[in-house]
Amino acid sequence: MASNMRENISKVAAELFATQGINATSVDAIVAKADIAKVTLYKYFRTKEQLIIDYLRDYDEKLWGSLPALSGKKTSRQQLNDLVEALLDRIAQPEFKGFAYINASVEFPQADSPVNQTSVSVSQNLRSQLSKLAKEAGIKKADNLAQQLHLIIEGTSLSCKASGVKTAVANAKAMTKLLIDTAK
Amino acid sequence: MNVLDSPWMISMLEKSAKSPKDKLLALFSVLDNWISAPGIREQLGSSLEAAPSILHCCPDLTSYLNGLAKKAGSPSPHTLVSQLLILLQGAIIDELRNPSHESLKAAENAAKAILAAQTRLAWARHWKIAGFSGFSAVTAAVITILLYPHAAPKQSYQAPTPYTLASNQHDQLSPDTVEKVLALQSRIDSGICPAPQLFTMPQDQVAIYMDIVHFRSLEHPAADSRKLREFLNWYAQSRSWECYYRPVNGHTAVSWVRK
Repeated sequence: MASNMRENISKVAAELFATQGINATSVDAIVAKADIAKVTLYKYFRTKEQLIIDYLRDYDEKLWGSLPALSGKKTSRQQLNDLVEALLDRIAQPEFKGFAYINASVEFPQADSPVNQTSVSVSQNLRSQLSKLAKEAGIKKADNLAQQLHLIIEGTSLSCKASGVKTAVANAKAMTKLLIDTAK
Repeated sequence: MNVLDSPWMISMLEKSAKSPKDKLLALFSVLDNWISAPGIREQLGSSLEAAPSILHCCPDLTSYLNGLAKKAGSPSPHTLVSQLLILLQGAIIDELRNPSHESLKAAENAAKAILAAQTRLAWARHWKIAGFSGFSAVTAAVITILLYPHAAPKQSYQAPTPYTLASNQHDQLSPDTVEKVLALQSRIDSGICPAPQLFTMPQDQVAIYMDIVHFRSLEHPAADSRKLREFLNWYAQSRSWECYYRPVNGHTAVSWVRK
């Protein structure tokens, strides 16, 4: 029961954070939507900040969980390309509302805010995965390539909705392939 | 205020370089300079917070960049510009989060790689078209001569022999030569090597060199390729000794000027 309640609150909060923004979502709104007493929420999450940090960690876990497992049969370059493409495909989905950690880092720009620190560490996690694959592929400037691919993923998630997300994703994929293929 | 889409940004880009390609690349260095000015980072952060869509659409900037990409001879300007903007937006977000990561520099390097690939593609197309039309013209001439031997022009024109035909086919402008010329031009631009004195070299070589540097298509790839190689040899023998490479760290240049 207890873990159910916690999950329920997280789920409601995640939905509100994603659609309305984090700062715009008050604890009252979460409580009202989840149909619980405020005390219950504070029993599981001591502060709103704690709730946000949990939300980001959950989001990260789910994001990685939803990606197809890397298969050992392919070359590392191919795996790297697949990983970036899988992330770009998520952006093309109609229900995509921006990466949670990017939105959070924009809403909490102060470097000493725990929310900002969490979002930095979540994005760092992605970067180090990219970098690891690039190193396995024997690319000398693996960190540089990882940074560039990371920029492509995040930049695409912010691209202009009016000019078509699908085109942007297709262009981003072409760019990814080119950068991976030409990296030495 | 959306700085990216402002007339200020466009005029900065316009001033930043001469060639359309360099103007496209200047997108990153102009922003890099601007973002490190005092107070700008905070301002950009707060405007993002107020309206996360500030980065999303930049109609004026996009149409300006599209124009540049067309002038630079990109085979697909819209794709190129969309890719540059993706890199730019990713870099700005990363720059705000991790100021010390030189994200705009990384984005610029990625953009350079993409532009280089596009240039290669554009050249490949030029060669195909030029090579094909050159070949068909020669074939037509051969047929004409075979059919009407008396009509063959009597001036200095020589009917192509199988040998010249075969060597012509192999004598296409090679990407290596183009890269060498572009590398030389960038050394000249950055002041490392002296600009060749135009009057001392044959006029036809000058014209072809300028065509390459400005990404214009060549009319006679085979002959021009030979002339370019002659030019590069000439430069290597008579001018390259004047190239001055900046001393690497830890070494100092001796100044002969008395202060």
